[in-house]
Amino acid sequence: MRVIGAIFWKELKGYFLSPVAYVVLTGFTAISGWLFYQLLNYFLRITNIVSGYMVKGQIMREWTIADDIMGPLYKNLSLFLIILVPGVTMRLFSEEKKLKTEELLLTAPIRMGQVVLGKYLASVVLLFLMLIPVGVYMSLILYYGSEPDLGTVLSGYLGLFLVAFSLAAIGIFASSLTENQIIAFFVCAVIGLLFFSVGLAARSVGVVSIFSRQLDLGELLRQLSLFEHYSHIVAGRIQLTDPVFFLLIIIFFLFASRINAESARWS
Amino acid sequence: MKKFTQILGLIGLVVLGIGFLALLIGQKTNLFINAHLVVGGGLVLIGLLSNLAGFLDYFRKRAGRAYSGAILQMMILAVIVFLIGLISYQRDLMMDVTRDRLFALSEPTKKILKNLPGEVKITAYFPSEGFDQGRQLLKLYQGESKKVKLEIIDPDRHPELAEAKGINTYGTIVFDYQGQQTRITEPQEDRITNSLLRVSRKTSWVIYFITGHGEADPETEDKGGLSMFKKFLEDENFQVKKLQITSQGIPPEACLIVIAGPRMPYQPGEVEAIDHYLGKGGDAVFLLDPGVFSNLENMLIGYGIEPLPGIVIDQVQYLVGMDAMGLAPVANNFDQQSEITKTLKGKLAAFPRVRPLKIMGGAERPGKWTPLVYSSATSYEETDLETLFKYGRARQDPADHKGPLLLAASYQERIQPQAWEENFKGAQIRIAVVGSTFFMRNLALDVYSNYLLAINLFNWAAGEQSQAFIVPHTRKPSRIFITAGQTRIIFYSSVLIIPEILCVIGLALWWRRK
Amino acid sequence: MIEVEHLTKYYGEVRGIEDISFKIGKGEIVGFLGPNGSGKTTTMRILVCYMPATSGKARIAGFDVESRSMEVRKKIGYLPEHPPLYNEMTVRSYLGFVGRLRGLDRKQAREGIERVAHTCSLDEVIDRMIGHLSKGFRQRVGLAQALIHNPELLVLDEPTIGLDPKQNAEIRSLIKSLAGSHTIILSTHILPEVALTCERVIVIHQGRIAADARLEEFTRGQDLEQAFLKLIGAEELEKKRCE
Repeated sequence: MRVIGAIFWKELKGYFLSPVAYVVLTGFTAISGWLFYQLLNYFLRITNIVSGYMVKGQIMREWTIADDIMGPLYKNLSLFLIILVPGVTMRLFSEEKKLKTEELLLTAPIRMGQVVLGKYLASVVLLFLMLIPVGVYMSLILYYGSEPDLGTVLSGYLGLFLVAFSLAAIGIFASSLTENQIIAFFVCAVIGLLFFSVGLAARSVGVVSIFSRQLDLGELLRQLSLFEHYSHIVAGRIQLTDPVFFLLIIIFFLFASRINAESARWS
Repeated sequence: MKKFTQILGLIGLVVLGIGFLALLIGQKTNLFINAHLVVGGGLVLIGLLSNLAGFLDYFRKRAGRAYSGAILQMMILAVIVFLIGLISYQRDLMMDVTRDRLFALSEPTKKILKNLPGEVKITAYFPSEGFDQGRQLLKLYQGESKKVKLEIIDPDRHPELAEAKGINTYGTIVFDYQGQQTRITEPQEDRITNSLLRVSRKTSWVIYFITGHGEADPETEDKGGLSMFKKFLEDENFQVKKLQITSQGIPPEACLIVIAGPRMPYQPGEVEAIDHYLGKGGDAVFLLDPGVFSNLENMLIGYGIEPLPGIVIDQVQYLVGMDAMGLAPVANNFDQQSEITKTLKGKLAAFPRVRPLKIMGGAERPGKWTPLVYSSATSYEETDLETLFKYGRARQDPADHKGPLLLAASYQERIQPQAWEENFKGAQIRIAVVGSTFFMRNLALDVYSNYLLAINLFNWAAGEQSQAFIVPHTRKPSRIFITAGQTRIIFYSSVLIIPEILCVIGLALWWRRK
Repeated sequence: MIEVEHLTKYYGEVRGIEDISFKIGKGEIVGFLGPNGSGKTTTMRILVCYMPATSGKARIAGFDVESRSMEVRKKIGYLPEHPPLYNEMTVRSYLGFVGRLRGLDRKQAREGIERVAHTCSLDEVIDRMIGHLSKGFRQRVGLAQALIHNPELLVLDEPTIGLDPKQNAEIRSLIKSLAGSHTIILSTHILPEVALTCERVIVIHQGRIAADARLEEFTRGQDLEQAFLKLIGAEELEKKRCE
C-alpha cells in the first residue's frame, strides 16, 4: 500500500505538473462538450418536428434521450479515447526506461506489481477527472429531460469508464514494451483499435471446424470485441460477459505489464 | 552455418503459420496448404535439430529460464482469462436496465413459453449483416425456455439449406413442432409468440372463403385477387379453402368463414345457413363493397350493424395515385382498446372504395359492437353513386353523412354453452365487418399498414384460442424542454468555459514552473 | 558482508564477467578498478539485484541475491552510473519518494531527508526542481538518494564521473566521511580516486579479477598507475602476441 501510494502520488503529480493533464483535459472537454451540444441541438430540433423515426410515414421508433443523445455521445467519445488514453499512458514506463530511472525501481525493495498498480491508478484518476464533464452533461439531461431512461443513461456512462480504464491497462502494457513514447502511443492505439474493430470481422466468418470440432469463430470474435460489449452496456442490455470482459482486459494487461517490466532485468 | 539454420527455422515457422491460417479459413486441404505445411514443418525441424544443443543450453541458463518462465506465466494467464470468459459466457446472465424493458419478453410471451407442450425448433434465416434485433429476440426466447431449440442459418453461406426449405426472404423464421411447421418473415415478438402458439397446437385451422356470388378469389393473383393475403394466412398456419354453400351448410371444421365482396345477392337459404352457423358460436368476416346489395345486410342489421348504401369520399386525406376524387380515404383513427387495432397506433391504413357502417342502438342481440376504424373528419358519405360513377363527379350535399365515418367494426357475443348441439363452434360469436374488400386485395394489401389490420382482423375472428395478443415492449419517447437561452448557456459552458478554465490553469502552472 | 563465488554473466553470447569471486568484510571501502567495459557495472548490478547472474552465487549479509532478493535490496543503497532522477520533481519530494520506496514511513522519511540533505550539502537546493540543478548537485542528489534509508551497504557506480575537480573532491570527502558506519563499494576507472578513498582494490579486466589486494600491497611501493598499467598491459601484450 505504501509503495503503491508513493508511486501513485508521484505519477499523479507528474501529470499535473507537466502539460499532459491540461492538454488532455482541455481537449477532451472541448470535444465532448461540442459533441454533446450538437447532439442535443439536433435532438431538440428533430423532436419539435416529428415524434419518432419515420419510414414510409410510420413511426418505427420513438426518439429518446438515451438512444439519440447519450448513446451516440458515449459511442463517439469511446472512439476519442483510443487516441487520448495512449497519450495519457505512454510515458508511464517508457520515460523510466529512457531516463534510466527504471534502475531505481528495480533495485528498491518493492514488487513490480506494486509499481504497475500505482502507475495504473494514477492514469485511472486522470481519466476519471477527464470523464467528469460528461457526467455533468448527463446530469443536465436528466434534470431537464422528461422521463429520461435513467438506467440506460447511467450504464452507458459507467461503460465509458470501463472503456477508458481498459485502454489505460493496454496503454501501460504498451509503455512497458519500449523506451520510445511515440511507439508506446501507437502500440496502444493499434491494440485498442484492434479490440474495437475485431467484431467487424465476426460478420464475415461463421462456424469453422477445426480437427472436426465445430468452433463458432464469429461468435468468438464478437466476444473479443470491445465495441460489441460496450454497445450492449450503452444500450442498457448488460450481459454478464460485458463487465467480465472489461475486467479481464484490465487484469490481463496489468499482469502482462508486470511481467514485461520485470523482464527489463534479463536484457 | 548456425545463423543460417536459425533463419531457416524462423522462415519455416512463418510458412507453417500461414499454412495453418489457410487451413482454418479454407477448411479444406489443397496443394497450396499442404505444400505450406510440409515445407514449413520441414524447415522448423531442420532449424530445431541443428540448434538443439543451443536451445537446451539456453533453457538451462537462468536468463533462458526467466524468459521461458515469463512466457509460461503469460500463457497461464491467457488460459485463465479465457476460462473465466468462457464460464461467464456460458452462464448467459443478462440484466436489462432500460426503463421500458426493451430487452425482456412481455408477460404473455413468457406464459406461453412456460406452457409449451414440447420441444419447438426455431430456425431463423438471417444474413450475416443486420437482423440484430431479431437475433437478440430469439436468444431471449431460447434463454426463457429450455424447450426452444434455436438455430440461426445464414442463407448466403448455406444457400443449399435455405433452398431445401424454400426460403426466399431474408429474416424468415421457421417453427417446427413434431413435424408441424409454420413460418413468418418478420422477426417481431408478437409474430414469433403467435407462431409458437400456433405450431405447438395440433389443430388445423380452416378458413372458408364463400364463393359463387362473384366474391374476391383467394387464389387469383391479379390486382383484384386475394392471393397475397392467402399466402399470409397460410404463413400463420391457417388452411384456406373455398366453399360453396350447399344444403350441408357450413362444414364443421371451419374456424372462420369469409364473405369477401359478393357481387350478387345471396339466396335466402344461404343466408339462413350463415345465420345458423353464427348462432352456434361461429365466426365470420363480412367484407361488403359499396354499391352492391348482397342480401346479407338485413341479417347484419339483426346483429346491430347497418352497412350504409353510400361510399366514403375524402378529398383531403386520400391515397394519392390510386383513385381520383378521394375515393381512397386514408384512416389513422383506430380504436385503442380493441385487440385488433391496438398495434396500429400511429399507423395508417388506406381504404380504396369503402362503404360506411353504422352501429345501431337498441339492438335485439346482447353482444357488443366495437368500432375499429374511422375515416377522417374531412370525409363524407356520397350517396349519389350514379352521378359519381357515370359522370365522375362527387359533391358533398348537406344531406350526406359527414366524417368521421365508421369503416370497420367487430362484434362479440357470449352464448350459452350448448355443447350437446351439433356443430357447436365455441362459446362466442365473433363477427368482423369492413365496408370494403379492396383494402386487402392484392392491389392495396401492401399499402401502409393494411396488411397488419387485415391479419389482425382475421386472427381475432378466427377464434379466441388461436391468437395471443402480445404488445411487445417498445421505446417510449422522452423529451427535453429547455428554452433557447438555456441551450445557449449549455453551449457556452460546455464548449467554451470549462475548457477555457482548464487551459488557463495549465498555462498558469506552466508559466510559473518556467 | 559480501560473499561472491564464481559469478558469471553472459549477455547472450557476449561475456560480461566470468568466474568472479571475492569477499568483503563489514565497514570496508572497496574500489572496483578497471577500464570501461571491463565488467564493473555488471558485477554491481548483480549485487544490487538489478539483474540475475548466469551462474555463480552472491550473498549479502548472508542473504542470497537471487532467492532472498527483497532482504538484500533493503540493505543496499545504490547509485547507478546514471543517477535515476526525475527532472520534474523537487529534491525534497524526490528524496521523500525514494524513502517511501525504500520502506521508510513518513516521519522516518522526513528525518532521512534532513540528514542526507545535510551530509550531502543539499540544503540550499532542497526545494529546487531537479531538472534545473547543475551536474554536481545532480550527482549529490543521486548519492543522497542512495543514503536516505541509511543502508548497511553502499554501492556507487562511477560516483565522480563528469564532475569538475572541486566537486570531485567534495564527493570524495563525502564518501570518506561515510566510512566506518557503512560498507562501501565504488567503481571507477580513474586511478587517483581509488588511492584517495579506498582501502582495498579489486581490479576487473575483461570480465575477470586481475588483482585483489589492499592498497598498500597492490602498489608495493610503486606508483598506483604503474601497477595498474602493468597488470593490464601485461595481458594486452600477451593477447597481441597470441594474435
